Amino acid sequence: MPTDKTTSSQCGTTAEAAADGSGDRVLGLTGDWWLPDGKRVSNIGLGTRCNTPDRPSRSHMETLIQFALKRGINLFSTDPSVTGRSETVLGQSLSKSFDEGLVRREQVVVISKAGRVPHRFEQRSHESLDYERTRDRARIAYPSTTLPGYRCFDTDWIKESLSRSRSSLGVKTVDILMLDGLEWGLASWGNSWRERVSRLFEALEMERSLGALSWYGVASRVGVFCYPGHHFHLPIEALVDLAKNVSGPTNGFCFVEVPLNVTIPAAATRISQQLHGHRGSVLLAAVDFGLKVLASSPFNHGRVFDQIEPETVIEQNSIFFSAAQWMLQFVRSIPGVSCCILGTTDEDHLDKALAVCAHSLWDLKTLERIMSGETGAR
Amino acid sequence: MRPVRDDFLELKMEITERCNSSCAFCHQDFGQHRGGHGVDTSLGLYWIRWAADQGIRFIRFTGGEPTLHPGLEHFCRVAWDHGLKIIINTNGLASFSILKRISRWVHTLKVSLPSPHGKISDSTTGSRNSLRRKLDTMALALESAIQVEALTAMIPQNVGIVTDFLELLANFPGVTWVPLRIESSAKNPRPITRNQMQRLAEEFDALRNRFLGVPKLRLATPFCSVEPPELGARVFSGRVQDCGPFKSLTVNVDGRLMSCYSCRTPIQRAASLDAVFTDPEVIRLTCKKSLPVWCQQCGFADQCMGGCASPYAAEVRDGELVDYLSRPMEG
Repeated sequence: MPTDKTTSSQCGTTAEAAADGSGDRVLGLTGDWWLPDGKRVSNIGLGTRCNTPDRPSRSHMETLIQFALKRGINLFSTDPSVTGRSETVLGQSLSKSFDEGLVRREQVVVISKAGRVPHRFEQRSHESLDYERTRDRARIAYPSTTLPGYRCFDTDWIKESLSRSRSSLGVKTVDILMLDGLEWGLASWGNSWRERVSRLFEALEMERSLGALSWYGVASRVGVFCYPGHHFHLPIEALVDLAKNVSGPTNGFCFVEVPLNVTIPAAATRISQQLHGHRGSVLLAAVDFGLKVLASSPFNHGRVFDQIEPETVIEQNSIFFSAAQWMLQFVRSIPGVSCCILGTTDEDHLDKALAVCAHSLWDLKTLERIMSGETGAR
Repeated sequence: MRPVRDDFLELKMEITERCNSSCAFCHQDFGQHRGGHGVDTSLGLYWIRWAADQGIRFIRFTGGEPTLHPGLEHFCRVAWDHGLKIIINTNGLASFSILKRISRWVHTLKVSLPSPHGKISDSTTGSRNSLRRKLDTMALALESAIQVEALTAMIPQNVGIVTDFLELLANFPGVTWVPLRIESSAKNPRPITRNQMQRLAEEFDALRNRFLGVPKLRLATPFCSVEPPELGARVFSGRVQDCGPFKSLTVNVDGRLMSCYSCRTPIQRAASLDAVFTDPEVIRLTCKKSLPVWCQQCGFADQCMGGCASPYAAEVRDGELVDYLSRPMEG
């Protein structure tokens, strides 16, 4: 029976993964976890959306994605909202890997997002023009439902967005679809938000039944951290209840994606969610309601390195880490975190970061020492 | 030798005098100049390149409301290409569209937050629904992984409600609250009294004992404006920590380099950063010997530097120009 990361010490190496028949070159990082359907997933995922001005070429990204697969990563996160390029590149890279026999489709987990309305980018390439049309289509087709924050959660737009993602990725089924910034919807819908979210979940459950989608969740950088009563508050408990009302206990609402890093540990520390009449953190709520937590931005988009050089040596439990490795190990060790999504475009950085997978996840005592400020930075 | 650490030096560029808000506390009073002009593009680009050439790490586009300048996107792209980290000052009432377009270049967004209460925010800024719009702007920036600072000029109405700011912004992990001394201006040279400053300092001090992460009051408040001055040292950051030319230089819309955002004295020697630090005005502002004798003898002088050096905040005492909030040390 699959268990979550609390049994990480039992999670095997690549060799063990091959021996248990779950895969050959993929899988086997310490802390691997499982989807509700039993698919095994790496504890570190690769974020392939690239919004930096110096974005890498397609071939560079293809090489990186193949490298990640070879190093045991089988979860890839992407996003259609920038130009659609990220999804296309990921889809083509994976397709190539399937053709070459590097992995099989069923061994890979693909996450995409929906809910954003693409905005204009300055390069008027054919890609951005295509997405300008998409944006305009969203605004023309759903003018009353395009919300502040460049969001649109009209059910038709979400379905269309999923369809576009499947097409860009070249997959029949998107494994996980995250509703990106649903708090903008709740902030705008007023008292009718439950009805709106129910309709949204109904549409997503329909997509599941059609095989276009396996699971879904919410990605939030703001709303989950806001206290109840705040206009941005995104209540996890209420969303879980709505999903259950729509589709019973087998509903597909299984994921929460939040930023989590040493400078923004709010998912673990901030008491902003209701849990059966009590208050708790996002992680506590997620665990309590059986949701998997995907931790994004482990380096806060590189900003953590404003304070400390990535190569600074840090000793923890008699093991020497680089600052980047230490930060990654910190995030993936936090109880309740299923997976840490790492966004990098550098093969060398990824390789060095993945070296932490040789180590068991830190225990609670270690995490408590870190939170109280005891670290061994040199 | 330069009196600053170069890696923290920032160039503030006032790229426009236009503003879509009329904040009552604005010491530049730009809100009243809606037809104000913006910096010429070639002049703007000259200073961006100058900053990069001089090894300055941060460039801040401010105003007025910088998002109203049609060339902001271009400035951001060029500054990024030159390796500068970009900071934008905004009132948070700008169009989301421009913020989205520049978001991938921006390191830090500084949003003005005059009050944690909607009605006071509206009356202070002269804009409807201003608090909600400012919070939405912050949320949008956080989603784009931009570092966000909420800047609050501590007007007298904000004395006694510091907790309300902390509670409001606790909803937004990743947003840093930066309370600022309300600056003197020609229109209002005495915007806060010593008694009000005393209450504010005591409020900050009490909160520092209760909560982690209570910030210091930024910009140049003299430590001796409150009693005892040790209290000031605990809760005020001091001129050396925040102000030009210790931490920043300013370029106005006419392309003139100035020593300080508040003092606004043009720098004559602007060929290079090394030349800047030989300029008489820069030396005056950074040299302790330019302070009154009693101020030089204070144990906090190296940090406090006598408070704000702006001419609007100055008053003559014993024949010397001093910050109106300061008080001579007895004995």
